[in-house]
Amino acid sequence: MTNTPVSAAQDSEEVILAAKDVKKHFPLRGGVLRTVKGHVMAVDGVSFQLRRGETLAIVGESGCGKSTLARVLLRLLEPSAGKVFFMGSDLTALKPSLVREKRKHLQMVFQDPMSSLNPRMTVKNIIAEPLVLHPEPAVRPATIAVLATLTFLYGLFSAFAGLAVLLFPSASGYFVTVPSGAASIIGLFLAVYGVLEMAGARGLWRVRTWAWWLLVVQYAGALALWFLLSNPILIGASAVLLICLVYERKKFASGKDVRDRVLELIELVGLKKEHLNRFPHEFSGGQRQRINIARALTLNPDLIILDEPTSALDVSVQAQILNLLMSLQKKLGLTYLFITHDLSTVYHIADRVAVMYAGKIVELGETEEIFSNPLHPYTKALISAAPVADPRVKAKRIILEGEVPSPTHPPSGCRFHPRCWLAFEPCLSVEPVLFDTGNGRLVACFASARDLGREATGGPGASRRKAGIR
Amino acid sequence: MLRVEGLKTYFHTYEGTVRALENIDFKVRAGEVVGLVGETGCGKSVTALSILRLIPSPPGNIEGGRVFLDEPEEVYTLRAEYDRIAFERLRRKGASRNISSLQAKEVLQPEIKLLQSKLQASNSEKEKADLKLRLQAATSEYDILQKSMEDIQRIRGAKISMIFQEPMTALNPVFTVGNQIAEMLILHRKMDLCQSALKALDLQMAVRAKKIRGKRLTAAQGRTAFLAGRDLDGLPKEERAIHDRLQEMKDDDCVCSVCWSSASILWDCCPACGARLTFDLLAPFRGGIMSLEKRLYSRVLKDPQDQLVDFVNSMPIFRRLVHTRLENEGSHWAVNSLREVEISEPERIAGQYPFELSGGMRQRAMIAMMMACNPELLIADEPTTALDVTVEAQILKLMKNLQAKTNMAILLITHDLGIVAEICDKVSVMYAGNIVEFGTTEQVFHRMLHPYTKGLMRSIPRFKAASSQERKKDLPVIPGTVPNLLYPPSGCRFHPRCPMASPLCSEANPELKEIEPGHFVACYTHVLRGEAPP
Repeated sequence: MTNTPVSAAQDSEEVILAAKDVKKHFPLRGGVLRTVKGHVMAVDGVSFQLRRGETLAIVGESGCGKSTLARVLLRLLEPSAGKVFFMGSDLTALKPSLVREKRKHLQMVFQDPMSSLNPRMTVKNIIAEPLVLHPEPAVRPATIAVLATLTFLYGLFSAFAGLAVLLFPSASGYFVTVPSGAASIIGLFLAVYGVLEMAGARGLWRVRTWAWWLLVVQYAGALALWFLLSNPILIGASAVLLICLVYERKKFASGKDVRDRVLELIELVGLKKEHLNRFPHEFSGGQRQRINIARALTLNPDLIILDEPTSALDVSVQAQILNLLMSLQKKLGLTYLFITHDLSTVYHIADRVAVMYAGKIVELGETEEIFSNPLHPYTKALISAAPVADPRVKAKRIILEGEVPSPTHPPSGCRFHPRCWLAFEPCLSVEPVLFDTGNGRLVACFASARDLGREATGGPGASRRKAGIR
Repeated sequence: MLRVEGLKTYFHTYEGTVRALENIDFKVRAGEVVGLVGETGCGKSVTALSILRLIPSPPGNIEGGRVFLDEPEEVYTLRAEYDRIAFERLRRKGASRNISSLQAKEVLQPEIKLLQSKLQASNSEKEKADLKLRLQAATSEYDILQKSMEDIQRIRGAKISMIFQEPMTALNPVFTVGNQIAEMLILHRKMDLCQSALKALDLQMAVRAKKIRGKRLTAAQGRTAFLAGRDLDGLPKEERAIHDRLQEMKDDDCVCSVCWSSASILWDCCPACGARLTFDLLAPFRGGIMSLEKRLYSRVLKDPQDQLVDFVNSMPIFRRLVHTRLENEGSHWAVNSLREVEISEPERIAGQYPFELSGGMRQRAMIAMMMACNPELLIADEPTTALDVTVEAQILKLMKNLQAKTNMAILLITHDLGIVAEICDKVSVMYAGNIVEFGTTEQVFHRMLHPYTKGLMRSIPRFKAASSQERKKDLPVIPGTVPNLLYPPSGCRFHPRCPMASPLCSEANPELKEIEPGHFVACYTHVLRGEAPP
């Protein structure tokens, strides 16, 4: 599929996300023993590639598995089979902690803007939360590693010294010299201090801001203590560590940095400064969706999965949000996976479209081609069924009979055949697979294959070969 | 058929008064599909609920305006005179133009009294009829906002019925679809049901007189048992009808040997006679019960508010005796109305609960329920918003077909301009509680005049009529957001967002003016310039 020309992503052919034969089957349990009685085949073998900078839309009716697919791609749900490659690494094989690390580059905006915002958090906190969960910098600088090690050793020493002073006051001179009268108090202090120091060292290892504050206070205290006790070596050690710590301050995410980032984001999505301290319920639907988008952008992701971002919005607000999404893509070079059932927004925003039906992709190709010349009968029906806001256009509509098939017992052969007016003999028994009609256009339909004079194939092995997916 | 004049609804909340509706004027002719378009919170649904008087009160209150249902043309022309007088007097008192019929009656008191005395005095029939019309006009007789709650309940569902956006919340989850439609029928079409129940009773009694025992048979068995060596031509008329019904059935359909009707559909008992087929305890008393039923139904037919029937209905066991047949008959009709909305296997669907149905099916069941009473006006509040595109197309087609068949009027409330263009004859565009533009679909979509309508139309992404150059470009948007109706902007409510606003716009709210025949716009830019549309 790498030879496919893609208008918006021509400058970079880098595949940012690739799904290979992803399946998600939910077991249906029943009976006294809760045995598995069947499966809901929500997503059943979906493969596609998403290039950096492009917008791929996934279209389909409700219940066709779009949203499940999005969740599987983010590994919010474990796939039953198949692989998801994100920037070269297989998300399905990673440890959960590493997946969380990857999700910094892979964000999601959900359909209902109200229910995806915490009603008890202010906008400021909502937008800053990703920064709290994924503190920057994620990669620990060497200096901080050294500092953390030294602090840990220092804490260990303090704790031991304290214990020694407490337990063997007579032998305490071996570690530090303390006035004999205050031995027990100073010993206790040193022990607690040492433990706190070690905890601080652990926080420092993870580059946490709280650890920085803790240690600064502790070193200052230590400095004062050793000064009183006039221990020149420990005065020197504390002073050096304190100075190093203060010098490294900017490596830690500060409150001000977070505030600046939040301000930057809020302006980026078109909200105002005074909105920062408000709660989600004080906003209109469009503004809430903007907050959601800002939160998704906080960590500078590469890919945003948009799950029906405008379905709950009015037409005029939808236009505003679409404009915002397009300008953000231009500005930040984002890649979108746009999940929706609204064809007009798809036509407006997407570079490529994948049409899903009953857990499978039935057609995939460039937006213009799909809309001007749909090959799969389901795509044809979908496009013709969308109402046009023009009374003069009296299009002849293809109105499908029946409804989306049950995902527990999908029809045999092509899953669309009970509703298809072109269905003929092979459709009833053999499941069609995606074949390339040229120009990167993939269709899974026997009828269109026959019309194109191609030989359509069935079976899972052939699907990969024909679709050109490695 | 429906004429809304100056409708005004406020919600009195702790934060202040939400001016949800202000001066809503529109009319729906018989057999017309009128669309009501606007953004969320612009008062579309409140309009519909106000018409049906379903506004929760408190906090809601219909402050003024009148809604005329089925007002004859003569009364309307006469009323114009009286309204002019009423307006004149009210203006002197400083009241606004959205008068309620209560106000109108109050200021027209002298005229009404005069008319009443004339009516008593007059002798000729013709004069009386004319005076009656005048009296109706003066008292706004056809205004449904002044009717009593009982009258309104008789209108709801029977004359005006409503389809809601979310069928799952509108349907009762603990009753089957068939039951719910039957309940609706019993409420509004009791007489028709009684009549058909009586017919079935007669049939049944005739058969019973032949002393055939009630037991479960298949239709095939029923046919042979029924004829039993008799000659088909020699059968009396009513038995001939039963024979025909038996012939229509499938071989393995279940019938009751008492009434020979189809019993396989909903219950294990016969839908026509209500007899439990497997084990009928009441079998010896059936004859007596049937004659009692017959007497009761004929009483209902004579007088729907019959005291005796009410008395019987108030006692649980007897109520069951009388009502079972009505319910069964209603369920029969329910199945028919489900068949009318193109549901396959309506018998099975009627026995299912709403949660067992898919979204499209639920909406169909909802439509079936609303169509069961042949309403004159169907208010459809976002009927397809919760549905998928392909199912939406099915439902729209169905609504169009039904509308063509029954010639009812539809008031379609939606925010999807595509749907409006698809099936509406006329459109009114609402913004923040006002109607800003009203006209035929052609006029509103192609010669729109109000800046809000223009902005709305431009902000829709299109793919059928649009060229590919428009893709990926910024969509033109209406700046700003919908105003808070607690503190609506002064003057025209759209002026803060309007690109063409003039100083006048912030001072006074423009009224709807007819710019071209049938095309009304509430905007100063066009009214003042007095120009014809391009």
